[in-house]
Amino acid sequence: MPARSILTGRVLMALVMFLIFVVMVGVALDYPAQARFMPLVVGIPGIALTLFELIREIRRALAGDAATAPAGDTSAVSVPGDVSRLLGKESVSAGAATPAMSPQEAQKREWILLGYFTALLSGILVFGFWIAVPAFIATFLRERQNTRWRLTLGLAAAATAVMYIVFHRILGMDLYTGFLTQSVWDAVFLTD
Amino acid sequence: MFDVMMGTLFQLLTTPYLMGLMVIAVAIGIFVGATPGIGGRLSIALVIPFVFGMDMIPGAIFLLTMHAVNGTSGQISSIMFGIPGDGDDAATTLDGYPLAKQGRAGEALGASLMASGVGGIIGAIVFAVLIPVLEPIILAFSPAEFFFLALLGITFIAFLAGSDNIFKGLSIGFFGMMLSFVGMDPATGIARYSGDFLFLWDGLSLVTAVLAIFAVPEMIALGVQGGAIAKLADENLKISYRQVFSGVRQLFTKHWFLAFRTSIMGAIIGMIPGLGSSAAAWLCYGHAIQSSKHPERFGKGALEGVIAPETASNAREGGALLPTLFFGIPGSSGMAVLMGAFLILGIQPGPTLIKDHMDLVWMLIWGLVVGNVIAVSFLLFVARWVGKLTFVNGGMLVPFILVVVVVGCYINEGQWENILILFALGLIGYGLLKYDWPRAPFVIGIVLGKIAEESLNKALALWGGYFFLRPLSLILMALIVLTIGYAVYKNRATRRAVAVAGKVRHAS
Repeated sequence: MPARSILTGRVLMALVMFLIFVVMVGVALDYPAQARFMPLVVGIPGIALTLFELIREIRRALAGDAATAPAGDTSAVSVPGDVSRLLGKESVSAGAATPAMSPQEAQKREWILLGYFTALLSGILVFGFWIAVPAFIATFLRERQNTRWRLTLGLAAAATAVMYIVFHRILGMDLYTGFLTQSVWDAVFLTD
Repeated sequence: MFDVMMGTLFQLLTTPYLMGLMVIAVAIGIFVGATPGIGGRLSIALVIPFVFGMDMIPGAIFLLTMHAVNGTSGQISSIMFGIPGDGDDAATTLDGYPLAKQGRAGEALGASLMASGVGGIIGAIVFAVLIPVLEPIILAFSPAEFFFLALLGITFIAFLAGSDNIFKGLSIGFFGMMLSFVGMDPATGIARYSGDFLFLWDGLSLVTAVLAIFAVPEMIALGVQGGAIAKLADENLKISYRQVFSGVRQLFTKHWFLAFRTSIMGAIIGMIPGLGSSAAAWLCYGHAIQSSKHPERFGKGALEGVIAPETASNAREGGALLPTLFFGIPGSSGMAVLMGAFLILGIQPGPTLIKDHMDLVWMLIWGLVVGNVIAVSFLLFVARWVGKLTFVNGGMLVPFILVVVVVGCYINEGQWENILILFALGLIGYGLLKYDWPRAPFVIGIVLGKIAEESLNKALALWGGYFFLRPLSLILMALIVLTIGYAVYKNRATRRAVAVAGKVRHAS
């Protein structure tokens, strides 16, 4: 069996959880006795549980039983066992109108969405909320939802305006202005 | 107690600020409950940053009202389009949708919305009635018991994941607990898991963690799925008010006793943590079938099939509030997120609530009652339009909600570093969602971890290593062992049944 087939997403997820516990327990070992007590009380069973889960997932992967439901699938709601026998049915169709998509397509969309999420957070860190948010909303709506330009720009402007009114004016909060934007601002206006 | 009870009701009804907040909470609750892709837990997580600066009572009232209303509005799409938002609504769909197809959507909506309101009110009453009974028990709890209660809470909530997932549930609960240890250790003053990052010395931001684990993954999943849930012809949307009020009338004339019974059942089921959020609705649906003289009508459009699950699922909220507030054990995953939000507002679950904050407890009970009255009155009139929210393209909401998530994560502490935490935990959260790791135990872990550690330190200081030999502690330890043992047994039984079914299929 090629090693690649064992590394399913489920196995990787279990591995990540296992490693998190291992690292946290490892770090806790350097703390004084009282400070490390609870992390060890919780972390060691955590290692055991995630190791158990990891072995289970590897065995499943080896058995070729790694089929997964698409993320966020709400198309069917399972009926609890007793009631299903009562009703003679296993699930209630949600009647979702979204067409079924291939795993490849789902995977592609997933990467795109994660890319957008990463871009939003990076954009905020570099350029700040006031630039990154309208840019993100406009790009997402235009590229992912194919909205018309006028609607796209209108919604992006409206969202920024709501953000300004609610957070800046009403709640009196200063939103993060970003590394780059702040530096440029300081350089141009010679502020501290 | 009577003074506090009536005083809080009077205060609630005569304070425009509180009533205004409830109306806003009802409106938001209806919107998020009826809009595809935004569930109750997510909506509570999303509004946490906005209630962060609020006082304890207004913030709690706002969140609880919203939580209570979420479920009520979710039934509209179940009945009109056969699209259940969650497990509770799925039970309503079985008879609600056939009723709609028979042109009786208005009747079904009238009966189910009113049933939901009645259930919510009776659930709150059951909670109120049980307070004097439980008071001495709660006050008898010491730090030792609270330590075990915290562990029991995680064990119970892991059960919410289903018996097959209990190990995953426990792992995630423990993961949450480990993250709760981030920051300065109160006993030794050592900064744990914080490195040189000063922003972590006060601990990991609960708001950021909850948003990352719940909101981010849901939004990515919604973006992947895309599209509107309903693309049906809107013939089911033609509803007359005469039909709606006919449904309401039938509830009070023909089916009032069923509504009463299922409300009590729902409230009691809600008090049992870990029984599952949809158990109340399904068990009461089953009860309605068993107690009916014409069980053959069920599944084809019986009004009782709509009333029973709706009364039960809303009554459950009142019941679930009891273990959440007094024992720190949330009765459902939604309550788990709500409890996290309560802690952010400074509401510490446990005996201090009964000793020092009975006004808050009564305010929450009244909040449930009044919130349900407002929601049902409002929904009976606007149900036909609320149903149209199901046509909203979920993908369109993704960028806006993601922005709210990031803003919320930033403003609660004003630290840009929290955005990095949001990213890291958001990725883990998406992995958990995608690969069927339950996420509710995470909130319980991160919330109860601190309580557990503080209680353990106090218990050790008071009784040394023998704290676990106290009678109540022994009972709680036995409960933890029994819970895990039962889960393991059920897990094996299920696997055996699946294996036998597989062999039978193979042989045939």
